[in-house]
Amino acid sequence: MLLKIDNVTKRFGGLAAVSEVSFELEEGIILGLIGPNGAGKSTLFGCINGTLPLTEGTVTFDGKVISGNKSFQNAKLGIARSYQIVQPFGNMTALQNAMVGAFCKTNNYKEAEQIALRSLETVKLIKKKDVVAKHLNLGERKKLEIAKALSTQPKLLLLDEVMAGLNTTEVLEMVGIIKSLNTSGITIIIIEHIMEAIMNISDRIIVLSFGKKIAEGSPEEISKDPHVIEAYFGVEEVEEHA
Amino acid sequence: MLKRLLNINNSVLWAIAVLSIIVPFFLPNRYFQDIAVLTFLWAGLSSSWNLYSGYCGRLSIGHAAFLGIGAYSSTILYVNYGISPWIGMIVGGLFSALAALVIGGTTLRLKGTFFVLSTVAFAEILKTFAIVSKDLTAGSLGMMIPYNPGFANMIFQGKIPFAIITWAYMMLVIILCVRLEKSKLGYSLIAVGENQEAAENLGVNSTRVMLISYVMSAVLTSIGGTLFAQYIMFIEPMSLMSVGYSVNFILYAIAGGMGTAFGPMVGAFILVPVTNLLRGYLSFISGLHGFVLGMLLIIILLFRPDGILPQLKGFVRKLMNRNKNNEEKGE
Repeated sequence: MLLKIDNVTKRFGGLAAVSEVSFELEEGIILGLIGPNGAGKSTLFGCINGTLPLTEGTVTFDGKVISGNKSFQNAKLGIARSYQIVQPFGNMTALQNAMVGAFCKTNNYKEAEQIALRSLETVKLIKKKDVVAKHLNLGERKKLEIAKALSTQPKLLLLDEVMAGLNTTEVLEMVGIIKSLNTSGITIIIIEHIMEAIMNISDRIIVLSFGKKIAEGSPEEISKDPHVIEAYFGVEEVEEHA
Repeated sequence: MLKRLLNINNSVLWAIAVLSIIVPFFLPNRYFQDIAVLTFLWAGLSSSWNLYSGYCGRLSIGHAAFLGIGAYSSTILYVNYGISPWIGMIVGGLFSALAALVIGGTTLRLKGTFFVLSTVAFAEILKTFAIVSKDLTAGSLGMMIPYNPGFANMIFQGKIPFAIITWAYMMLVIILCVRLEKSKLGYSLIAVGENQEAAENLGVNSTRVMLISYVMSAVLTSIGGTLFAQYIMFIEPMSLMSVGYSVNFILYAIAGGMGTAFGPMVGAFILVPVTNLLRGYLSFISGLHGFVLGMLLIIILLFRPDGILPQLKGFVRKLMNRNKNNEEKGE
């Protein structure tokens, strides 16, 4: 098992954003993480990569307990995260952005440059490598977000809504990129609202609702699961009365 | 084409930095040579400040504290114990490193204005300390360094030797900044300044990165402090560790271009001579030089908000793009 989430709970004051979530993740797959807005998906990402300290539970990565680690320590271990709201280093070029990530595993400037160039190539952003990040459009920024994470040479990549706001062509391109990352051996957890895309690329899907895991299974199983349908569409009142 | 011109742009700056050492030799008298020495010194000091605050984008308005530590360490050792200022300079650097570790360790994690305020407080505390501990520092009377020329005493006849030393100091700091820009530390530092959380997600230990460069900045500033004391030969807490001095560090860097290796130098090369010359030639109405300088700064910051240097580079880049487009059209 690459990643083991055991009984993870995160409370903000009285509100449990994530409560008692457990799952395991074998190496090499793409896990989809879906759920309505406010279900705690991004919070769970924060708990895994160390941005948010856990309230309860443990996270084990590669056989080591990592809950309690800071995010930079986890990055060194091989967990990278891209943000839903893109966070480029605005005044640095795309290449320099990616190089910050590349320096995670190397101290050598030339080497870091090579790693960064490779990541930019993978996400098809190589043509824009010398453009200052604040001048990139949303689609390019989303790609840059992945390139930065990719440059840390992760084993596990957490992708948070990398397709949101993209047009159909861009979504298709992104699906291709994510698949190629996975083929190259990176395990991926992906949060996404575009159902077609996530059903298409995920090997397995976990559904969160109000911080709880309500379902887990293959895309086909999930699409038929009554709990999931309930969480997304609500329950028809007629049925309840009957 | 584009890359070559950009490189030329940088080599021009290198040339200005290196060749500036010739200037003092051609200046007609001690008055102008004095301005040259102060220009080199402030270029070095402002570059030292830039090493942390410029690249990380978090202003320290208390760098005069490190200037004070450097100046007082060497002066106390020299005046009271007869120890060479060259050694005092190293001792001062160590003290500054220690102070930066303690202050940085506690305040660097503060966000935004709180860090700025804590740096001001630190400088004020040190100033008060220097005033109160009369046995050590002679309090607000200040300390006079006896004129006793000699290399070991770091006291020289004429201004030229000091021009060379302060120029070397400036070059040292600039070279360190240029190297920083091409290093892991530099990239990490700029990233932290841009977005701390995003940087940490990419494996940057932000506290450590900030602390290292803050200490480097403090040590370099402290070295400048020793040079400053040895050149003026009189130090006194009220002016040395005043907010006014702290502001100078920032002023030159902002005017020239924060977070660029040559920015503070450009700023100091323009503003220090202008300040001194205005003071010299506009003395017929008291306060006029300050007024003119203020207007000049407002104009610079109004039209060049990122400083003179980045805008110059942007201008060159634009020119080249136009050339490139023309070339493409020609094809």
